[in-house]
Order: sequence, then structure tokens, then C-alpha cells
Amino acid sequence: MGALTDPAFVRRLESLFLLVRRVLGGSLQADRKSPLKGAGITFADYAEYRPGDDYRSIDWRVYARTDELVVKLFEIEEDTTLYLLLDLSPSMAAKQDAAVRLAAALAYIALNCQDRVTILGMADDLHPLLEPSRGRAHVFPMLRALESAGPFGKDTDFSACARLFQARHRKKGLVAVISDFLFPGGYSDGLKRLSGLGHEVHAIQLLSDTDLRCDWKGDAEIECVETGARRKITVTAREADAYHKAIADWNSGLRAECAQRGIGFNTTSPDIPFEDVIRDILRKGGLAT
Amino acid sequence: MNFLAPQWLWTLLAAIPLVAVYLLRVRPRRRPVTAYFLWQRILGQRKAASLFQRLRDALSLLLTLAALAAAVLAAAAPRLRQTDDRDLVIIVDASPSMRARGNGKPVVELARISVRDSIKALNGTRRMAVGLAAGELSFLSHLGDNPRDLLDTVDRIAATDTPVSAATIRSINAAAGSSQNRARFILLTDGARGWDELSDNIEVVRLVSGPLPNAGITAADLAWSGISGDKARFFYQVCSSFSEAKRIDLELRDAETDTLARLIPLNLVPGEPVSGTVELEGATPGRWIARLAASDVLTDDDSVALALPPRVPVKVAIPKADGYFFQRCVESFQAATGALALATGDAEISLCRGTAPAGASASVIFAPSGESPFWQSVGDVAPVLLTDRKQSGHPVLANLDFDALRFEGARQIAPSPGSMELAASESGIPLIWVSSANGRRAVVINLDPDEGSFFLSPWFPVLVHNAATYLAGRGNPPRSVLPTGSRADLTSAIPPGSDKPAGPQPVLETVGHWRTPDGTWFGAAVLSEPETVLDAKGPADSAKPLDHGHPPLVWLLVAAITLLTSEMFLYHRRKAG
Repeated sequence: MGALTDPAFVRRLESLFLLVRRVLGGSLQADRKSPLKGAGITFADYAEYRPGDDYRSIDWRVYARTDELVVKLFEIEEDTTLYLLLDLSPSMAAKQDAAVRLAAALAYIALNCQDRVTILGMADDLHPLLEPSRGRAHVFPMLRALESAGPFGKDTDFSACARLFQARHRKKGLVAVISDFLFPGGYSDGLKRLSGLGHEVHAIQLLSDTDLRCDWKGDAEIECVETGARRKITVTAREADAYHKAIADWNSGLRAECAQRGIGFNTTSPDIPFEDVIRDILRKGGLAT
Repeated sequence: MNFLAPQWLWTLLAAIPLVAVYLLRVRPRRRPVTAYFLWQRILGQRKAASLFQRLRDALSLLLTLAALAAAVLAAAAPRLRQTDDRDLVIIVDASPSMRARGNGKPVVELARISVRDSIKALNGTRRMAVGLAAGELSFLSHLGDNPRDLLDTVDRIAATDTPVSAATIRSINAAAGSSQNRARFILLTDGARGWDELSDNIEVVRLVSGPLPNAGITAADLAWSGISGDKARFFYQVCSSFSEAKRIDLELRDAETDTLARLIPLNLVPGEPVSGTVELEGATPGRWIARLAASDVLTDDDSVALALPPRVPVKVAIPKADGYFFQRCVESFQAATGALALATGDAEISLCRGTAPAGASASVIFAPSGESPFWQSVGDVAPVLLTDRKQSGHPVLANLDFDALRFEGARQIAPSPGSMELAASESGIPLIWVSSANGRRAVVINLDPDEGSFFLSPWFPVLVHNAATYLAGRGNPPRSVLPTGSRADLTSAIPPGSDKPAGPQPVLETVGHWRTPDGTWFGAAVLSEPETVLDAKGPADSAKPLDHGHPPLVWLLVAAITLLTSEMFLYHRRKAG
């Protein structure tokens, strides 16, 4: 029995789902409203009658009072597709467990809300981990798919992945990217492509202490965990400070990019339980709203 | 270059494991990083540092190997050239001229530096002794190879007030001869004269290459003049080693009152002593100082301590019948030194022949005859062939040559009981004795002065002077000034600045005013022309260099430590950034 299909973990997911329901109130089924107006059960607005309109929707009471033909408009209630882009490049190896648990939690909530869930592994290519699925019946397949997911690829090419996603998934939905966002090619192009498709994009940055800090000094041979490239360096306090500044600049740039493009952004670390991360996201009004 | 312990060179093989250990040690730790591209950006701005980093590993290995090589070479005790490995005996000239300032420092300080350098250069295979040469030869250390002990002796190297004596040079020659060439004898000197008898097997290192500008008093005397009164005469001799003529003033001061008595302008010509005698009026007994107002390299010879003894002549009465020669003798002393003076009523001494006058408390009696409390009987004249000195060193016998003194007209005679016999003939005839009876004292001289032209011999005034001053209780006053290193003919004397007598016939080792136990002052001064005329005409330099500085192994060890320290710094940079 894997870590994700362990009953204890599933109980944690269920507890989290119940918590989310209480926070958001009532059933979450079809909670997401389409911007399209049409057949439905929830009144949305009136509109002037035009030839071709369904005459059954004419509000005769209004006609009796005003002598004008108007039709009632109703909101179309439809399911939402949650795209989970999970960074599975080697740089996430140390953080993969936390990333997978976070993805499992988001997918569990979506499946329970009758939303459609698609999970894609991301590195130098996109690997589908879970084909579009809907309903509670897909919870365990989803968990098993995430359990069996492992690192792949030699580098993370976020732009290429975004292009592939753009080509394969035209249906608009909610895109959650779980990654450390330490992409040698940068993150701007990828975020721009994702948000440009009309998706609602949310970035969840997962960084460990070793990503953020250089707490070693002296001679070392640094090795890129993705490409295997090596270089001998001597790290003094000056180099360590330069690294701290570089990583801080990188992260603040990411935050600014997300804010500029209306992309939800959260940063977390593997040490923080995924429930806290989900609560934090909900508190900020992201994803589930 | 050769090595005293070449077997240590095998330890150079330690370089092989050292290189292996080094390569293991410098291998950097591998650190996987997720933001490699960020590191590349940071390091891309430090290309120069990267170049240094690449060179640093090679440099560090080179430093390590160089440190090993230096340590091994030090252990092998290298010698850069074939050196003389005999023991060293360094004799430092400690005469007053070593205080002269040559090259800005006293020459004796240059000697200390040279000795210190030689001690540092000892490589553990040779020994060294350090000695001082002045009035006598004295060693500050035995032959030893402990640098610490030898360095302690360096602080005791100092110039003295005593010029180098012939006895000192003989001692050095003897010591060098007895070493049978097993040790190098090296004299460190300023090049002053006075080393003419130095043996050829003693190397000379001259600390001063050329002449030094100096002037000093090389002879002086101060004595009473005339029979009485307060007149005195001052004699001086001044020499110069200045390269040009100089006008210098010579002061004579009464040291008791610090008043200037005479100012004598001198025109000093190089190589020519300037001397003269000046008369003084109003002189008083006590301490005097002659001082040369010279600006030169040596001050020790610029002043001379002098003294005038109290002027109290022995009053001598001569019976009219005893004639002309006695009177002329006393008058001569009266005119020359003032030691004796003719008197009548208040005479202390009676100078007579035959018997002592009645009432004379002390008498010098020649040709005893008749009855006297100072002898028992007088017999016939007996020939005296040889003379035996019974009381050597007695003041009455001072300066007498018994080989030349003829006791003609001496009689068979028996001194009174209790008499002290000072001289007798080979047959036992008493010739000179001291006797006392009934509170009266006498020196009796058993010869007839009319015989053998004794009145015309030099021993007549000597005997008169000695006997009169002895009976009057006055010894010979010391000379006004004596050269340092000489022995004062006194029973005792107290050095300057001390209250303790220096013992009988002391050697005058300190310049200044000395005094006898009865309070009579006299001076001691350098008064040596070789110490004053610093014309560099002393012994020639042997042109054999002294080893100096630390031996190579010390520098190699220092280099090894420095290299290791540098490598450790680089290692720290590698490991701790």
C-alpha cells in the first residue's frame, strides 16, 4: 500500500474536504457558474425578446404590466476542469513527496466536487498522469497515478510544457502549477502562455531550505541535479550572499509576474503540511472560488 | 654547497605520499544544487577569481612540496661554502678608545654586534669563547656552543678606562700559542695603536676602517713650585688625530671650588704633540681638573683628574759641625719638592753624624760613634763586601740599589736591644737599623759619608729623604696623576665614588680622583697617546671574514614554516571560504 492510498492519508484528505465544504458553505456541486446565459434553473437577468428566442421564456407578467416582450435569462451551471501541472523534474526530487501530496489534496477536493480533473507531469515534456476524470470513483485511480509518478526528463522547460498544454487542452479551466519555478529558461513565457488561453492560473511555489540558502562554504563541486553539469567553485561569504540575493530576486520577480498577470500565487515549503497550504489558498480566495 | 647530515635527504621521498594525501585532501565535496543556473550567473561575474582558483590548487601543492624540501634541507644541515670549523676565541679590545664613536655608534657597540652575529652563525659544530683585552686579559665565557649563554656575555662587553698593556698582549699570544691552532683567535679592535707585539697567528678584525677625529690629553702633571708659598706648575701634553689644524682651549680648574684657574689656548697640528708648562699662583691643595674643550669622537681623554698634596715639609735641623753636604741636601729638597726644610728651633728631625744631639726626638745618624742609647758598642772599621736587605719594602730602603751602595767606613757595632735591623753585611755587621729609646727614635746608617765620595753619590739624598720622612711619619705623597692601568705605590687607596680601599698597591682601573687613607688626593687618567691619536695605524685587518647571521638551516626552517603557513591559509580558504 502506497503512501497516498494509505487509509490514514485518505482520512486526512476527507477531513480537509469537509473543512473546505464548511468554509465555502453548502454543496459544491456545480458551484462554478458559467458566464454564459441560457437554460438553467437560476434566474440571471431579463433581455429584450428577439425573433428566434424561445417564446417559453417570455415573462408574460411583465408583458401584462408593461406591454413589452422580455425573456428571462438563466445561468448555465457547468462542471469545471482542474488542470494540475505537477513539476516532476529532478530538481523536485527532494520536494516531490510534498508536491504530490499537495496535488492529491487539490484533486481529491475537485473530484468530490464533481469537477473534472486532469493531472500532468511536467519536466522537459508533459506526461499525463491522470486523464480527465470526474467523480469520487476516480479518487483512488488518481491517488495511484500520483503514487507511481516519478521524476523524469533532464531539465525543466516550462515554456515548452506550456506550449504543449496549449496545444492539447483547449477546454478552459483552472490550471494549478505546482513547482519550485527554478527554471533555467525562466517562468515568464510559460505563465504568459497559460494565462493567455483564458485559464484561471494559480502558481504554487514549493521551495526547500536548500533551495533558498547556501549554508556551506569553501571549495565544492556544484552539480546541477537536472543536467548533471558540474563546476568547481569556492564559496565565501560573498558568494553565499550573492546567491541569497539572486534567489530572493528570482522569487520576487515571480511574485511580481503573477500579480501582473492576475495569477494566484502561493509559496510554501515541504515542511508545511498540505492542509495548511490548502487552507491558506482558500483563505486568500484562490482555486475553489 | 655540502651537507653535514646528508642522510636526511632521503626523507625527500616523503613527497610521494605527501602528494597523494594532498590530492585526496584538496578534492572538493560534490554538492547537488537545484538552482545551478543562478550559480552560473554569480560565478560568471568572477572570472578572475576563477582563474586564481585554478592556479591556487597548483600553487598550494607547490607550497607544500617547497615546505617539505626546506625542512629536509634544514635537517641535512647545509653549508653554503667550506667554512673554517675551528673553535672561535674572540678577544674584544676593551681599551678606552673603543668608546670612540665610529659610524655613529661607539666602536664597542660595533664589537657587540659583531660578536652577536658570530654567535648566531654557530651551527652547533663549533664552540666560542669571548674575552676582553685591556689592562689584563679576562674571559667572559669559557669555550661553549650554547648560544643563549654566549649571548648573555655580549651584554658584558664594555670598554674600560685602562689601555691595553704589554702583559695583556703577551697573555693573548700565549693563549693562542697554547691552542696549537685548534681555535681561531680573533681580535676585534678599533685599529688604535698599541698592539705591536701581537702574534701573527691572531686574526685581526678592524671595526673602524679609517682615522677618527680626536684630541686628548696624553700627559699631565701638577706640582708645587718653589720652597714655599702657593705657587704650582702645570704640565700638559695634548695630541690630535684631526685631519687639519685646530684651535682648542685647555682649561685647568680647581675642582674643590669649581673655579677656572687657567685657560690655555692650543693650536693643535695633526701628528705633533703640543706640550707646555704653566705657572699657577694661589694654588691650593686638593683636587684639580684639566679639561680639553674639544668636540671629538672620544671624551675619556678630554679630561684629567689632578691633585696637589698638602704642602707640609719635614723640618730638619743640622748641627753646625756636621757640615755643608747635609745642609745642601736638605736645601735641594726644599727647593725642588718642598718635602724637607731646614729648621732650627722647631725641627722635627736632626740630621747628624756620630751621635744624636741631646734633646732631638728623632735623628738620622750617619757614621755612629761614641755612646748612644741606639747602640751598645762601637768597634773597628770592617770591610763590607755584600749587603743583605733584611726588611724588603721598608720605606727607609725605598729606591735604594744595594748593589751600587757602598757602606765604606762601617764599623763593628751592636744595635741596642729592640732595634729593627733593616740591612746588614755578609758578615752580620748591622748597616741600617731603626732604634728607639727613652721616647727618642733614630735611623742609624753605619757608613762614613766622607769615605768613597758618598756625599756625591745619588744614594745620599735618597737615604736622607727616606729616613727623614719615615721618622716624621710622612710617606711619599703620590704623584699628582697616574695613568690608568698602573699600580700605585701605596699601602692602600680608595677609588672614585667608593668608600672601600682597593688594597695595597692597587691597580688604577678607574679614571677620576682617588685618595689615600690619610685623605691625600691623586688622580688617575687615560694619558695614553695610542688611545688618543686614533690614526688607524694599529694592527692591519686580516681580511678573513667572520661568519655572521643565522646558519642556512635556520632560514630554511623559517622558510618551511612560512610556506606551511601560506598553504594553511589557502587550505582554510578552500575549506572555510
